Amino acid sequence: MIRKRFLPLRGLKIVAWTVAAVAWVTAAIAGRAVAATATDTATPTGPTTTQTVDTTQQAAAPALPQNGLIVIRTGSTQTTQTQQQQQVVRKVVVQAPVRQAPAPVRQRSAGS
Amino acid sequence: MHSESFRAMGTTVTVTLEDTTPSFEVRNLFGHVEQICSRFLDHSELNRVNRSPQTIMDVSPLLADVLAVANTARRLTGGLVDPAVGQLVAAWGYDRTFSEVTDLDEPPVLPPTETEWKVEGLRLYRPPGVHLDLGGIAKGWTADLAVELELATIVNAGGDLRSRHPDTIVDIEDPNGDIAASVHVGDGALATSSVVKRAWMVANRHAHHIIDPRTGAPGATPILSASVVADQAALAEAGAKAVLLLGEEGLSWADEQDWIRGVVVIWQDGSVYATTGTRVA
Repeated sequence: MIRKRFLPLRGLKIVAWTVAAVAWVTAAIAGRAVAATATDTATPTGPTTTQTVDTTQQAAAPALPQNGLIVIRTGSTQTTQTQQQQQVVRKVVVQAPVRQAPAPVRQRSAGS
Repeated sequence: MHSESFRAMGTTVTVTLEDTTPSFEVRNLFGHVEQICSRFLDHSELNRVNRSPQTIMDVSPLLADVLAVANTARRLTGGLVDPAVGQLVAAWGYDRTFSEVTDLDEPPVLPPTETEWKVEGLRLYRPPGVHLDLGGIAKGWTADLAVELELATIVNAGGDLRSRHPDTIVDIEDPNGDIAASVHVGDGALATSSVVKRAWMVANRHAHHIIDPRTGAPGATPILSASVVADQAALAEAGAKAVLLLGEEGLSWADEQDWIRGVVVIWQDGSVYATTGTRVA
């Protein structure tokens, strides 16, 4: 009697647990796929947040004129390797040679 | 040759002359122009013009000449250098000779005003309320005139100089007083504008006398000083101010101007740059 009474209940439990297990595995696989897709599409947005421009900062160097630029002296602030390379590229040495005068007249200018 | 110095127009003027040439004519010229063009002398013609309620008035030939050069400077710089900022310069605190300028607690609040003006011959057209400031232009103009009249070989008015000596080299000083660059000027002119000189504090922030007409405030620029080589000192002075106000784009702009022979700028980090046309000595 007892056996007869519990057999249908055990069968139901087996079915329920099987369905639950299948559902969990399916959900887990689907979730992993969604996460992977989301990561792929999110990748380009990373650097955008670092491109925020601080408008209070002053320019690090002048815009390069069409005919180039002579770098007479570099400043005391630290420069990155990229900046140093740019300065080398910008250095133009096609200026006309200065005639050596026997006695140049020297003046000073410091601004007003 | 020999050199002599004297004070005029709020700065030290150094005159280089042939040995036989007297310097008093140059002194007199600077004194005369100052009496007409100064905004720090109450009785000057410029101040009478600035105070006048008239929109059309006749001015002296000398003032008309200086205004004509100022008009040329305004045109060549696209309006960046305009004597019509006189009221703004004064409102920001530079309303007296510089040694008497004091710091301000608050920046000025000025209503936008019309700044259009023109000069035709001796006739000046100017809306009432527009105050003209000819400071830098008048200084350069006087140096130009002294050399063109052969009263001197070189006139250096506080760093704005005009020369007719072919071997003139100008040492450009940085804010520390060190030589940042030496430039061959020869028969020509060089002027330097700086935000370090003639600077004071407004609302605990650095202010200076070079007003940007686009903002009505002292120009915000990464350039500490700009030196321009040109044919005339008055135009070199205007060019230097424009380069300074244009900041990052200043050297590119100057490179495209056929009236500018060369430019040297001292950047905020101490770097020194020049355009390729500059004859660095």
